Amino acid sequence: MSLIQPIFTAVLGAIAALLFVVSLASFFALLRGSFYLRRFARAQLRDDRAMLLKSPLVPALSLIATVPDASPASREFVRRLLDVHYGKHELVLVLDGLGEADVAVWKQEFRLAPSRRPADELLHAAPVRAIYEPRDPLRLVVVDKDPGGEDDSRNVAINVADSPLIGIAERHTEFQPDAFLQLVRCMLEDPDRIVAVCGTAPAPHGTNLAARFGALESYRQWLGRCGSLVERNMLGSVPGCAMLIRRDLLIKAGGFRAGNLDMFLRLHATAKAEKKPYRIALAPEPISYVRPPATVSELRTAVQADQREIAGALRSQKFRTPGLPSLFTIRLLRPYAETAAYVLTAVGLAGRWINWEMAVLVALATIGMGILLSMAAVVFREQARLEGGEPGQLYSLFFTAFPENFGYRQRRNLWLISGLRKRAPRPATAS
Amino acid sequence: MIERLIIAAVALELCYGMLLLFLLMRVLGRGASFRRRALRSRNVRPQIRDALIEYLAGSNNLDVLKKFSETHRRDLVDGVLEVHNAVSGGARERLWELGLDLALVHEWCHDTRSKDRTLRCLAFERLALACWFEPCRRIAGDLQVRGLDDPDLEVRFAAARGLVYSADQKDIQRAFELAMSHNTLGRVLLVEVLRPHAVTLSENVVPEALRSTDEARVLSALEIALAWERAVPLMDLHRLVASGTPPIRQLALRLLPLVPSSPENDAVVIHALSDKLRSTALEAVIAAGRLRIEGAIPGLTHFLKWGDQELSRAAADALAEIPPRGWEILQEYGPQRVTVKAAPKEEKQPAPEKAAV
Repeated sequence: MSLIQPIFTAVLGAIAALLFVVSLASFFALLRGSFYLRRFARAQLRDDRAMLLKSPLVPALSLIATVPDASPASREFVRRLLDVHYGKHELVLVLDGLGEADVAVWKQEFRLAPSRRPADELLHAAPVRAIYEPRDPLRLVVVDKDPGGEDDSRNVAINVADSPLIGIAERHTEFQPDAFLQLVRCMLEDPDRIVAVCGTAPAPHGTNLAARFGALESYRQWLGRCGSLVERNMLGSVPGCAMLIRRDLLIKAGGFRAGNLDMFLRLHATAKAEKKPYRIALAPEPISYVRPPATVSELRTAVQADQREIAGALRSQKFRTPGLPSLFTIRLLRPYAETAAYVLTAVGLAGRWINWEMAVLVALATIGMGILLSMAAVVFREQARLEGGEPGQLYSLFFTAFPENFGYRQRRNLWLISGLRKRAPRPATAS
Repeated sequence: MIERLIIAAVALELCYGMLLLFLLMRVLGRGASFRRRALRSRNVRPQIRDALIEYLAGSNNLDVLKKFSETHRRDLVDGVLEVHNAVSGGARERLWELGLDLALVHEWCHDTRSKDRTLRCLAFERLALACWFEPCRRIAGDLQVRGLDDPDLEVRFAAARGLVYSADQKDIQRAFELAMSHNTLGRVLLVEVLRPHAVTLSENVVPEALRSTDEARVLSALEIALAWERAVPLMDLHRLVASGTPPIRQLALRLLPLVPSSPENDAVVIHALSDKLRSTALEAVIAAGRLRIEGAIPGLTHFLKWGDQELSRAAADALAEIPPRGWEILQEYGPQRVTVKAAPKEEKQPAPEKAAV
């Protein structure tokens, strides 16, 4: 019995120290991201979109999308993709194992007729049943294939696409029609080295608490996972981003296997293996972002979907892959350590094996640092912008850090832990 | 021990919190000043626009505009740049006379020497517009030549865009050289402003670049010429089709329909139909159709019969462009008689029989 007290104290002390270190590292990552994003914003002076739109020098783009059904939401998503502003582009739409009735709906929607367009077999994927093209002058190719999941469908789309660039916008995101013009601008700055570009910035957030929690989440992600990692050429995909990827490298990397993040990490590995200088660039503009969650349940779905992507990447990639150690620390180690600290503190207090001072130290390492990190994300994000935000919104977000860390943070840790174990499909069920 | 740790943690978090509060106040202050400025601009912009329009319509009353240039200079500059896009001819000349009178152009010239890269770039961008007017060019021309040596690429492009308005061939040539020697984005931005000089450049500068032994330089020159999307007097293109590397040959074949036709050009297109690289052969098929080369009909017929789907379709399109013989062949080899192969897995293309070509 006499041993339990020092063991509890030592274990909790070690966890608290670890959490302090992780939080300080996160703070510096946010700061670094803020500096990078501010520099980037200041460097953007010209609006070249009109020139890029009509220039024949801009490479052709194949947008790829998969749909699991013929629902109005899916059709609306495809319509949005067809409205994309770009000089030379096409949309390769994959119907992933749809029944005859659903295929008939798509045929009717776009007046589809069988096409003799070939499909390469560069990436292994489920068999293609038929390829259609619309009778109307739409830049659309529809591929009907056997069911195989989202990654498989994307690989089929890459096989069918014949442009040097592949564009992806996810279904659950809001993307601007000219998003891909902004992404290709980044690529044209250094077409030999830049192998992929991600574009995203935090969404305008709603007023309810869930939306504000979601906004804090997206601020931390934008500064930490985008701004900070891109500077060190470790950028991976983040939820809500629009992506532009070189098709040849995508094929070399073996296509999609376990989501976007895994594919980006393999792009890093493939590009490194070629032993040529390369870069994955970021367009930190609000050209594509996740819709603000309206309820806590939506927020949980989004957090867990992202966590599953990270889990997939952790399972399939080597630990030392660029960007993965920091994701491991923030998204796996910290939730486990925090949850363990709360449980041990509660047990220790109940059993009188630790004193109140130790509980206060744990609270300072978890809740205290969490509040400060969220506040830092709000301030640093504001500093990265050239124009000022609404003071009311800024105050409300700044002080949302308190409710976020008293209750929501602890629940979120449990979502993150359960998200690591789940292998369910992503919420969008379509790219 | 724990007490000390708690004190250290609380002190750390308090410092951290104070710093964040200070930064919050700072960003709020910055936001407030930004909003005040935006509000002022929103109120004053219509007045500036009206004053500018009145001046461009012939009024000689500069007092209002001079007052705006003292009190709302930034808004006045924005107004001038906005009106620049909306007017042309004499009105635009008058606008830039005003720019000189109000010393806007002089101010931008001064900004080109700034250490701030953003300010420098902005100054060159604005001077590029002002240099549409010859007296502005006289003031800013030398600066723009110097701007081509700026360490920042964006500044160099901005300077080159202004330089192109100059009638001086050397300046235009410098801008073309800059477009060739940097990234694709630079070419995209400069191609538009170089287009009016396409014919002049194609007489001496482009041919010289095409004779270069540096493949990247040749490819850049071909890309620019293609992006002009207009007829250009390039005479020796057939040499590149005959002896260039595959990427050069493909771009040159794409450019051939835009240059004056010649027997040499036709001959290299016919020869390229038998190229081992499928992508080169495909470009040759397309070029043969656009140039309506009757001598290419046997080669096109071969592709129509034996080519893969893409080649066969391109050959059919090309034959449709060469009436009446091409049409007769299309009728002769109707869809039921054409064997379309599956898409090729690799680049190598079985060449058409030599006799046919």
